[in-house]
Amino acid sequence: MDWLYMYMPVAGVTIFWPGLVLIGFSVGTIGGFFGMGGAWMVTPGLNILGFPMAFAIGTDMAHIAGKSMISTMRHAKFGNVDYKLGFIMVIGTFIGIECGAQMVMYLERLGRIDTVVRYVYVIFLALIAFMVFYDYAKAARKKKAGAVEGERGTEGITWYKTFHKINIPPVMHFKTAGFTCSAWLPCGVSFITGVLAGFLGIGGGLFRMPALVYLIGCPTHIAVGTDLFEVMISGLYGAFTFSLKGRIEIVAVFVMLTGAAIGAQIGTVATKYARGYGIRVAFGIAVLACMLSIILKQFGFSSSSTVLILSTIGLMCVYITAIMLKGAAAELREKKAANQASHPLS
Amino acid sequence: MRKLLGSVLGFSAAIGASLPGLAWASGEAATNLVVVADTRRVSGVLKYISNVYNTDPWLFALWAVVITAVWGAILGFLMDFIMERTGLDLKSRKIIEH
Repeated sequence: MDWLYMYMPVAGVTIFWPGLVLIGFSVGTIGGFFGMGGAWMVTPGLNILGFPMAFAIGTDMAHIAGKSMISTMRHAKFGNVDYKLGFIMVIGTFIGIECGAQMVMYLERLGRIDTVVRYVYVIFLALIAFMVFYDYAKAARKKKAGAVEGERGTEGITWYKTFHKINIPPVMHFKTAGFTCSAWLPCGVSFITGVLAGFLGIGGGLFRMPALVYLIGCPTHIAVGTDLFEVMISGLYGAFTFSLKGRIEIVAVFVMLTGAAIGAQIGTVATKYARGYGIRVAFGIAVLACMLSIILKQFGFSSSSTVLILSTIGLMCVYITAIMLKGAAAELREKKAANQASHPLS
Repeated sequence: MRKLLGSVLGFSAAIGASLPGLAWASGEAATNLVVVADTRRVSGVLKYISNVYNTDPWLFALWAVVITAVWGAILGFLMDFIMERTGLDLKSRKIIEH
């Protein structure tokens, strides 16, 4: 069974390569559906397969860039990517990430900051999870009461409406996302999410996706596509910096991307058949799992933390694949019926 | 709701303000790690990549980005080609939030 193992020359370890394909596939599926890189899922997975932690993070970053590129290509065809918004947010994200990284370096000079970073991470994840579920509950309550607002239907949290009233020039119209606001709004929001991403050493999709929905006012599907576009750019930058530090195993990136290419199609196409709130609630559950895994790790339950992450990944993959298969089957059935109706003799 | 959000944000700000103190108390800095790729067990392209890793970090970083982007694009186009043959409409979708 030697052929199932591959030598990684840079990390100096022999790895079970089907495991890499599986990780790539899973994260491709989940990332394509939620619009995030999924570093929190890949890093422990790579670590379990035998990569030292430093290599796991760098390798993960490069893989995320490639995987997001594949997902962005698919989302762009659906019209889910607002490039104008993405480019504006990239500016804020980069400045923010740099500021966050500088904060970390300052704190690192003082001593080990792992614990502090974990606490901050948990607090923000708790806030996001709370926001997502509160939004869903509020929207469900409104819908039950028969309230329908605007073209998007019933919505829970609508903070973006207040932010759209800020008229500091330049005011821009984002055609794909379908709203007009001051350019400073996406710039400012991306700066804040960038600071968090840089400080926590993550891609930032976990924060940016909900920020795009709740603070900037993107429809969920466009938030997913636009966020992936940004993850792609920041991932390439991350791949460059980690490579420069020598903490990347390029062979593993290649193998993982092969699995991710298939997963990304499933995750991305599944968004076509999912309702916006379905994506939001599943995202909230993923955020909760991520938060619990960090808490478990903090209290020394590393194995339980890993089991929790892997189970979440597995269940999410099954859920997303089921949405995709069910939707695709229904669409093909409808097409077949329409064809038969228009050509009854054929 | 506003009151609750205010208290949560206030708590987050307090944690943020106490970060330097917590970090100061937590221990010593980690030492740097130097890694050298083992070129004895690989050949061909892998040997070239490993050599570049050992000798020229900038060129290695450039290769890493280019290879990732090119491989991502190739796989993206390939999957696009395959998916178009499934008969699904992959160019339009309805946005339904709730």
